[in-house]
Amino acid sequence: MNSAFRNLVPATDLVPVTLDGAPLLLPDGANLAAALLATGVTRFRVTPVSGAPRGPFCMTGACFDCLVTVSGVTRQACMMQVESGLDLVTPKGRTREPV
Amino acid sequence: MAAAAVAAKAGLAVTLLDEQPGSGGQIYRAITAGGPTRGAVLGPDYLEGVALAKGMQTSGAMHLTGAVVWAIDPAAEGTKLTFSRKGRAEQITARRVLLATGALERPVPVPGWTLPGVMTAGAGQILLKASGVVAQRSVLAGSGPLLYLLAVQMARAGAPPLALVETQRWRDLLAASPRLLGGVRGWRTLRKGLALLAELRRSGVRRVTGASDLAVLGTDRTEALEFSAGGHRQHIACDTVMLHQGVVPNTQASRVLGLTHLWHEGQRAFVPQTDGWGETSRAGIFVAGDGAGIAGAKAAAAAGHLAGLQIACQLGAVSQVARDAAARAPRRALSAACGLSLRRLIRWLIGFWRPPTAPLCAGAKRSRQATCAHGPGWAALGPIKPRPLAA
Repeated sequence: MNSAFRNLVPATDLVPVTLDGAPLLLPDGANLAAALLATGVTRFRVTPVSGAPRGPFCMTGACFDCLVTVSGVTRQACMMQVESGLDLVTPKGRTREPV
Repeated sequence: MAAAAVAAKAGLAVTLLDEQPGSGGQIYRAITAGGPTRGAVLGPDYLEGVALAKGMQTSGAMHLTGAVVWAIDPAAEGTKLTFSRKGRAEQITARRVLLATGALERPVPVPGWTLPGVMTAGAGQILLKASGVVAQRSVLAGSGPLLYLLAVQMARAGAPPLALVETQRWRDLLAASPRLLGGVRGWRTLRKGLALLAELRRSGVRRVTGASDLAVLGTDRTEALEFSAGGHRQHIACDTVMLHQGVVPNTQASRVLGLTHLWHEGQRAFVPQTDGWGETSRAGIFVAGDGAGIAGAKAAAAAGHLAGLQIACQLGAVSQVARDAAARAPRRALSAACGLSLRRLIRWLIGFWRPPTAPLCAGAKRSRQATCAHGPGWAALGPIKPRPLAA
């Protein structure tokens, strides 16, 4: 299946990151949510209560639907830039993180 | 950007706490980053932001990017702002604070709207503007001029949406017809709107009007949009649905500060009460731009200019005479921009855009100028309404 999104110009300056342990190449400095969408990732997390799938909705930092865990910290992917070596984990359902 | 430039050039120490990684805000997003290809796709209006960004960057204002403000505490000796930046919390105290929070898209809840692949039309445009990423099999649904603009921009990028499913009906056009009078002052905008619609027609994007009962189908991702139009249920298979029913002022900061807000019937939204310079019900706190009521980017720059002048005047950097002289041009610009925004124009041309009314602030709607009352024990969660805090 084709990706739901594509880059207008082919991505350059790719850097390695991992997503749920799998290696992935993303454009250095790109918006993380946009970069993940362009590589075909649409489901970013499942909700902690009902386990419903979620992906980027507002892209402005308002909705908190694009949360991913970056090196152990849950963050909004749409408010982050890609850096080499990011360790990304998609939040999966009911977990409780240390406060 | 406009206010920071004006105040810094007047000699004030100005810090711009910018949530984004680069200048431009939401409308001129990533204005200094995009190459020529993106400018061609997004059109000349977007490039107007280049001058604004340059003006700010050369003004001497300190621009802190990636700064998320999460507390604003007004006090006699100055307002303390707490923000996070690069994983660290910092504080800054200011004698005057200007909130330039802009607009948020009005959320449009329909069955299936939380599925991955459903996003706001604004999100779709941000992906295009800031990242050069475009949806391949998408349907745009709702109403408002952003849908036309985005459809045209996507077509220019070689990925036109499969369809534009519009919720307005012809009788909305009649309801909006008195607003045409505004078109006399805003004829440039009128022409721009007509050109946009002509380009949309040439692009051959399928358009459906008068659609209702929208629903997004799918189990763990978006598979189709379903709706009723022309008397029967219709179905368009797609990967992405972009919903839109216009934008509302982003009043989270102004409401948390407990400023007086008024219900704006025309925009169906709460707006902070401001004077002609953007000063709110709390002295020393200003709001400029769409956060004070939706009027668009040009009006926002003019309002920012006025607020910057007044702040400089209040702090003694500019005399009242100089302030008034310098205010003439932005006042004219503000008046021209508010005469007829593109949004209002297309709303008239195509039909009067109105969001669904039922769930939105039912109590406040009855009064034209109801104040937004919420005291301790209520938290403003998102743009819709105050909610009681869980005990």
